Amino acid sequence: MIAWTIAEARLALKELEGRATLVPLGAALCLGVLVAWLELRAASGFALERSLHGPIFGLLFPLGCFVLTRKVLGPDLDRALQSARFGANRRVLLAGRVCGLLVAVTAFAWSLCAVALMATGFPWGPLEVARLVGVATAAAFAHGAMMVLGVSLLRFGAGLSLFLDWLLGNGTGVLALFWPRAHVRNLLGGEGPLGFGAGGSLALLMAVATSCLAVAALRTKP
Amino acid sequence: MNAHATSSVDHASPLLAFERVLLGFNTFDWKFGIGLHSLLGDETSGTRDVFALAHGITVPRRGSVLLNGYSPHGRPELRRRIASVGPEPLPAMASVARLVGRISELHGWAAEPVIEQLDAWGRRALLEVPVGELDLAARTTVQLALALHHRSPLLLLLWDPFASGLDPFMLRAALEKSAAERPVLVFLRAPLTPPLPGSSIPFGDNQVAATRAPSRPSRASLWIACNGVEGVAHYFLQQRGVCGAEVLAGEPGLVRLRVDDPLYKDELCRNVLAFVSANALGLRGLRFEEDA
Repeated sequence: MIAWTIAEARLALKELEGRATLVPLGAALCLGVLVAWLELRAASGFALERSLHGPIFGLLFPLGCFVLTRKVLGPDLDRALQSARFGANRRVLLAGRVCGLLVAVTAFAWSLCAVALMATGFPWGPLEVARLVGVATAAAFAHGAMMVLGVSLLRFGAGLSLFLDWLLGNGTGVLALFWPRAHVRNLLGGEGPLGFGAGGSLALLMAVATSCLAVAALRTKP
Repeated sequence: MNAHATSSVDHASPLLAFERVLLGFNTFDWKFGIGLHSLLGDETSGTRDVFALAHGITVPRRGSVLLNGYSPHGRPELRRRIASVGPEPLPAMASVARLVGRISELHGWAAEPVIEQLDAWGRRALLEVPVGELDLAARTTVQLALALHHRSPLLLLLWDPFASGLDPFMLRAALEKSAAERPVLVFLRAPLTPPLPGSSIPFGDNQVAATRAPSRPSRASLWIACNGVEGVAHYFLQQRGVCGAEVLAGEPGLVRLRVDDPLYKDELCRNVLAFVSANALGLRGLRFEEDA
């Protein structure tokens, strides 16, 4: 079964090759550089923090995540798991697809962080950079999982989950508790939902993401 | 999807049934029993949807698709009884040999017959090629070897098998042999015109044709390769809109025709021979028969 999972993950990554994916992601990275540079010009203090809080993890990253999900999973999950015709269990194939997607989303999150760091002249020390890498990885896992659940629930569900994350994750109330956007903002030093600390937000983010993947797996027929 | 079905098969015990399935804006009731069936359509006619539904990859929005009374969607053990050549990329394994091995392992049969088949077709070298690097012809060939050596398939679904570049007559004979025991559905991309009254399209017993685009001469070669040499004559009869003409069933390589108007005989002969030559098709004879 491991061989099928790996093959599906590789197939998912192969489907990301091509201009349809690279152009929007490249544009997002360029916009990330521009935003960080503009923040630096506006006020040199906390330019990196401001660009990460706002445009990078608030807008560019979720949009990039959506593009990647659309390419890897398509509008609905059944259609994406074509290798099921050889008799492989769909859940095994889904695991492969999700692994491929999470690798791609994580690489994109790291790339956004790297361009923001470069554009602002590396204002952080190694410890803070390592922490940023950790937050980017958690954000990638959570956003990827949320979109996988969206696609498994309904056709074009990735777009709906992106919209709801923007709408509900923007606040700090109870409704924001279940959306990655609110917790990622908290982990980057912003205000968390219901006054949660960074540790609590990270734990909740992981719990929500894992639940999303579990529900998506349960909804997928073998 | 606009489609029409004509049938000459006994559907007393259908194996694959589309029951009130909604495709596009139309509802379809199709039953495929033992025999060779072809489904013709271009990229936009919904043939991929039919393939995915028949294989249990997707479920219809309305209605049901049943193989021997059960939906293959959600039943991997039933999906393993369907042998297929599909339009999508294959699982990206390190080599074709590895892919063949993994599929054999999953199904519980030996990989050797598949390897021997590729060897017999002179395509053994494909075994070492990474799956992601296969072109359309190679991908189709590998899947055909797997499909034809499936141990006990209930159903064969073949997406454009002639794209393999293998000898169409050999392939057709293999499919007809397999169709003696189970339904074989062949999905063909073809230029389409409504069949002439009283004519029979010579590929398969039961034809479900998507009637969308008018025929385009640029795609004639493919259609002719799929249908054998009698397809050439049929194609030209359709192109010219000849009435009172018919391609009669014959053995491979021998075309039997009935053309009422003698004016068309010469033109037909000329066109058929030119196409047969251009497409390197085997033709043993072209026989015109008197109207009974």
